[in-house]
Amino acid sequence: MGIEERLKLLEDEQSILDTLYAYGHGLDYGQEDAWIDCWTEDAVLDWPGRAFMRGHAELRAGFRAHSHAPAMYHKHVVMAPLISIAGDTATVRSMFARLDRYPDGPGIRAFGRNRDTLVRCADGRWRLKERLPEIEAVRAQAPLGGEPFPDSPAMRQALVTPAR
Amino acid sequence: MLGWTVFAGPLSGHDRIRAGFRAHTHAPDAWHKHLLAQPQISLHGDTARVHSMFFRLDPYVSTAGPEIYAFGRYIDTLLRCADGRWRFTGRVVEKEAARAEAPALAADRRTSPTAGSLTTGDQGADHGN
Repeated sequence: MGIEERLKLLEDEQSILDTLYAYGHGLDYGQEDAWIDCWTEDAVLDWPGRAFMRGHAELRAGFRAHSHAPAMYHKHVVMAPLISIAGDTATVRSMFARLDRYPDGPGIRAFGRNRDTLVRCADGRWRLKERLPEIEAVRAQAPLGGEPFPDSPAMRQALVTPAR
Repeated sequence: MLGWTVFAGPLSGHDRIRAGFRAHTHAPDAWHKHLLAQPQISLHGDTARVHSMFFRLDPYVSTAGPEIYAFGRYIDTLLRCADGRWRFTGRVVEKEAARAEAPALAADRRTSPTAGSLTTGDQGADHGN
């Protein structure tokens, strides 16, 4: 691999990380446009137990239904991203944890894995085309100022049988 | 310039930052982990602005194990120095959540709580940064 190809790979990986990080910062701090800009126009977000979202309009509605600082402080942390790039498409597996405030102090609300597909867009930025999170553990207690995790049949099913 | 919630105002200059460092707990007197995640880096020539998330892990008596002492956000500015290394010109700590109980091993060394205006959250006591 030539130096230009190696540099391009590094730039692609950094751009992908920028998008993964903007997701958490955007959701936690209410940066709506920055968060929407993480997604392609036809992107899919399928949270177990929540409404299936496809496209910017549904994603924006989901974003507005979500809590943000300063009304509620939480952290969507993404770790250990495994990035596999093939041409203009990337597959990423990462771990996530969500931290919230509880009466005794900060606690882990949930952890799991993100299964992502990103694509290189015309402007050069990599955006999420699909995010299929697997929730592996949740805390039943509601965080301060928040709701407990939705106790839906889909959620229970998701917890019993994590998606592939 | 370093904004730490346990001090009333920002720490300016090496002398005050060094005093702040010495007032902080360290291993082996207290074991903790300052973790930083998801740095969003904006470069502007020889300066940079970085927003990142932090969380600090400490051991606790009540749970007989490690817990998250605090989490929040760092707002940093950095400068490319003459030797090529990037150094902080400022760090603001927005502490958004903190555990009220003092960490197990830091209890006898903690700085007296004098929460400053930089504290974003209103939960729990201030057992350091």
